[in-house]
Amino acid sequence: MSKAPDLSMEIAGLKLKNPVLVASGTFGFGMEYCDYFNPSVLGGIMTKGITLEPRPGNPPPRLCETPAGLLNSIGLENPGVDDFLASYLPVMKEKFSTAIIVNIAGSTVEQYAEVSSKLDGVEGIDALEVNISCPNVKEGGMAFGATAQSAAQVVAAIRNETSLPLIVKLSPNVTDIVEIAQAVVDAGADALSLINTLLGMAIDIEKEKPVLGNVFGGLSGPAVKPVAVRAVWQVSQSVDVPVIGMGGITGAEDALEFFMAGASAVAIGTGNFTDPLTAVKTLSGIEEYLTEKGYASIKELIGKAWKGS
Amino acid sequence: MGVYEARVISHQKLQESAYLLELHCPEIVEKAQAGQFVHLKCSETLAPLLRRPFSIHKTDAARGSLSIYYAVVGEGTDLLSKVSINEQLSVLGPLGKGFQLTKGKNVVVIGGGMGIAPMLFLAEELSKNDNKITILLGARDKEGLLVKDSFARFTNDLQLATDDGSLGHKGTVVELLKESLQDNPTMLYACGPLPMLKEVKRLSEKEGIPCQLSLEARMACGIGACLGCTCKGKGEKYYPKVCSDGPVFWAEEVDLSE
Ligand SMILES: Cc1cc2nc3c(=O)[nH]c(=O)nc-3n(C[C@H](O)[C@H](O)[C@H](O)COP(=O)(O)OP(=O)(O)OC[C@H]3O[C@@H](n4cnc5c(N)ncnc54)[C@H](O)[C@@H]3O)c2cc1C
Ligand SMILES: Cc1cc2nc3c(=O)[nH]c(=O)nc-3n(C[C@H](O)[C@H](O)[C@H](O)COP(=O)(O)O)c2cc1C
Ligand code: FES
Repeated sequence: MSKAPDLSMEIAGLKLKNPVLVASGTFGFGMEYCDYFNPSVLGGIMTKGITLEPRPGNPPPRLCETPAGLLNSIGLENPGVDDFLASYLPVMKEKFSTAIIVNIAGSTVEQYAEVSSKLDGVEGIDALEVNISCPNVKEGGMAFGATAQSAAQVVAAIRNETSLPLIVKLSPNVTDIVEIAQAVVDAGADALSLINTLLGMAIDIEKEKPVLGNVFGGLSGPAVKPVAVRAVWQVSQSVDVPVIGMGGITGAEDALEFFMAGASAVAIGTGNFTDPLTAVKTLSGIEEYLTEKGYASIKELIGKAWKGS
Repeated sequence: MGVYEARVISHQKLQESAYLLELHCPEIVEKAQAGQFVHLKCSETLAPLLRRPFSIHKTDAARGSLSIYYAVVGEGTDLLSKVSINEQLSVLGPLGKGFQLTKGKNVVVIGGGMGIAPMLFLAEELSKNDNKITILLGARDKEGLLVKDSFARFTNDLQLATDDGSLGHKGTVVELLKESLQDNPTMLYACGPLPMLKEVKRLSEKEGIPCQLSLEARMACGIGACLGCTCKGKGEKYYPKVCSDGPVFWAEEVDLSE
């Protein structure tokens, strides 16, 4: 009998028991899913985006299903970093024995820096994931992640404040994602995650107005998967840091595409809504695939599609 | 709460596009409270991608089953209507905060359109607690009130309204409610279309009668994780989640303006 394949993975010095995570904003702070499975079996939990001050989020409606996709305009509703540290993190720490990756967001470079400094050195936090898709209020609302220069500026400011492993989450809403990826790695990113949602909108033809209260929303789900796989393929070949792939994963087959495109880990987002067990099923499906094909470790699959055999 | 594969025990077409679907799911039945809902996967494929929420219409402990009463309005419910007996459906539940039950009170239960669905389970629970129950049901036409008979055993005062006058009062349930207010009820329960809920809320506030409303919103996770199903709360920029803070809210907790 062959040995069970090795699923462990190291990303930016962070040891993961396996490479299946759950994506920011789709898994809350993990508590909601405990009635369905034990999230500790996963490689890690990426929290809802945390900002310096609490945010109420965008006015409803915030969701609109589209063919094979979901538009959301949650608007970063979150309790703020202080309440996160006081009320949410302690529960997560107690409940979960898996990596806790705190996703952060801001409206100015200073806000990102301040949130990072508050999270630095806090026991129980394993890494930061930086959402750079947020609008920069000082630059007319253009997303930080939209240009290499502003993306690098945010990352450098955060790098200054923290020694935690720094994962920078790239936006697909750019002309050249490779250029941004290289810029944030140069600025101090230890790993990259991609992709965040694609900017989109929908119009209600009965009401003759936009469906979402915020007009625009982020598109996620199977509809965006080819875009995400392409981005992982390009970025993983052009930087030396590990890539966490996400976008439309609903099972092991999808996840395996991401590994072969160059991802070292994957995250499940919208797939959690279709079935709360998607992440665990993906994990066991990956293990089965490796066993069946005789791979000793998931690491053998990373970038397989461009490395060749 | 949990995710279960539930077997279809019966599936009956009631009227032009409304169905009664009975699912075998003792785990949910055991815990279910009136006003709670289940989140159903309407197909085995990824189309549609998301689950669909449905109120628990009734439960049958002996059969270990729960029923939903639903209308076909789009892709998901259309697929659901084609499900046959003995097929399995993936169900999450019971979800959300249900109705707070009263004891020994004079209550009015108001259901409009598909908002009738959660009111049967509620009426049954209220009838166990010595309440004096008035039930007001409204629909476009008499077809929309085919479930009325199941309400009759929980009340001596069942009043019906249809827009076209084909059954009961010609007009709205809100008009029936205005009459019922003369009887000085001490609790109102309502579920139905937004204009109806707004009127019920206005009347409850005017008369100072505590009132519980069951709201709807588009949902993704259904369990409070995605923050997508919000409604407007009272006070500055507070957005309660319909799936986990509701679907039942006290009328004064929510702002129903669009
Ligand atoms: C807590 C809760 C309990 C519910 N209970 C019941 C029930 O017992 N019986 C029942 O028939 N329905 C109920 N609904 C509504 C039901 O969930 C929707 O009708 C269903 O999701 C429609 O799916 P679909 O794919 O068929 O339609 P879609 O293709 O998704 O939509 C078709 C049309 O219906 C509208 N629509 C869909 N869902 C909603 C909604 N939630 N609010 C307003 N408009 C909507 C859309 O805007 C669109 O115009 C409930 C909803 C909630 C939130
Ligand atoms: C409802 C919802 C909320 C999200 N919130 C955040 C967030 O707070 N921060 C963030 O970086 N990404 C957020 N995302 C993006 C996801 O983490 C993920 O990058 C994206 O949805 C693509 O993956 P998916 O197709 O598997 O969902 C959110 C996505 C959804 C659907
Ligand atoms: S549907 Fe996700 S929070 Fe309510």
